[in-house]
Amino acid sequence: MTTTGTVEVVIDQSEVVRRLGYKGREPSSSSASLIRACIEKTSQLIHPAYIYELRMVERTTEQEAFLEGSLCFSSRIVSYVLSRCERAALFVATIGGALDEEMSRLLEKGQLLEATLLDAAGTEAVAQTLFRLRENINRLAIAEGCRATVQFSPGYCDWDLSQQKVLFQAVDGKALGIRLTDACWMMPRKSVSGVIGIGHLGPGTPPPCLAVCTKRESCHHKRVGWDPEKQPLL
Amino acid sequence: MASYEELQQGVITADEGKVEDLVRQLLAAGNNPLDIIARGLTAGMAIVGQKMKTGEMFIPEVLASAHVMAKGMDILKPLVGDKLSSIYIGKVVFGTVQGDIHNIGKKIVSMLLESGGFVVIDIGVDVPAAKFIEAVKREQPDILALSALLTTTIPRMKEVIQALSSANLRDRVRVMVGGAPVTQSFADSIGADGYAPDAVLALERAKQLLD
Repeated sequence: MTTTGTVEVVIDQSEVVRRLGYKGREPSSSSASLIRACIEKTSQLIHPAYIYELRMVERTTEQEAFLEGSLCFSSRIVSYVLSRCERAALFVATIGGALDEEMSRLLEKGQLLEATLLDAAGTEAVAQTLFRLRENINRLAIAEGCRATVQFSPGYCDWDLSQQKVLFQAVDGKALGIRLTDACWMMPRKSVSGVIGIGHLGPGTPPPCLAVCTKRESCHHKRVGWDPEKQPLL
Repeated sequence: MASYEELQQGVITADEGKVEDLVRQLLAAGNNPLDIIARGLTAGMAIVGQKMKTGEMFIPEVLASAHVMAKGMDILKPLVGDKLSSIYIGKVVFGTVQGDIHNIGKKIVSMLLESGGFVVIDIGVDVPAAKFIEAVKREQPDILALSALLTTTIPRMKEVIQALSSANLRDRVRVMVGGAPVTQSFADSIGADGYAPDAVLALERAKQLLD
């Protein structure tokens, strides 16, 4: 089953400030007004949309998850998550390509500051789009007496970016204007893809990064303060 | 009368109009353009770097200062001519490794390296090892800087270092690596000479590598 949708997102200035590395401090007044202006500009350039496809989880091994339609994802993390799920929502979401074009134009003109601020605002916009998509999937799951997991994306943890090709076999990214490069990057750049599990998930399920991840010691998210102990699977 | 301290302050507060005015005033007063660069613009950016290190300034403020410094340089460069090379402290070839298209972080580090006295040759994103080798042969940099933003693309850094060795270029250039998933232990494991977790420390580390 394929579902597409558009969402309205409000870009939260405090989140953009956090993404710019302020670590709880306030930007100078001139920086704050520039950030506000860039958020406004970003809001005018984005077209947040998503598409997802629901597939049954057929079986899993330690390393692989097999889904309806002859799909196979190779990742210990994804396999661990989907081994606890009956279905999976395979998704792509994007805010469109206009922001990419504007950032390229600015970089060509040497306007790195504005490009950096637009980049942070765009990242927050795509995060909000994903958040809204996951809310929708979780509502769907709850209506069926299930729960939705957090999302997992190719390129993160042990899920190789090349697995985008498998994901895009199932999800029609072109419907949102998204294409994969030879190296499996999505264009427009401010796009996100991945899988969200749906199942009868009980409380206290250990998160995959604690249960099966072999990269915990070098985990970037951990280094920047992310604590897997505080992140449930749900 | 304009002073170098005022010019430094103009860079720190990213006051473009003030910096351009002060540069012109200092020139009109007979100051050497190279002194204006070193004692005014570069010295101001050095203070900006320190303020970022101590958490008093952040990337947007630092970029604004670097932009203003560049505006001052635009006035001075034509007056300095060939002597400009005398104030450069080193040359860096910089690229994002193959399979990775992240650009902004590399641009930020490049700008800070330039404001700290380096000449930066940006060879782009999604750069294969062979293109890094070509650039090292052509540009003969002091430092080769490699950027990657994904756990799945940082192994390419090791491939570039191995390609340098195969081309008998490893002893001719220092290799610096950086990007969100890169750690000191990863840098050590692939035989890189330097690693920095952020843009300001990248400048500091690059200077150390020249010693």
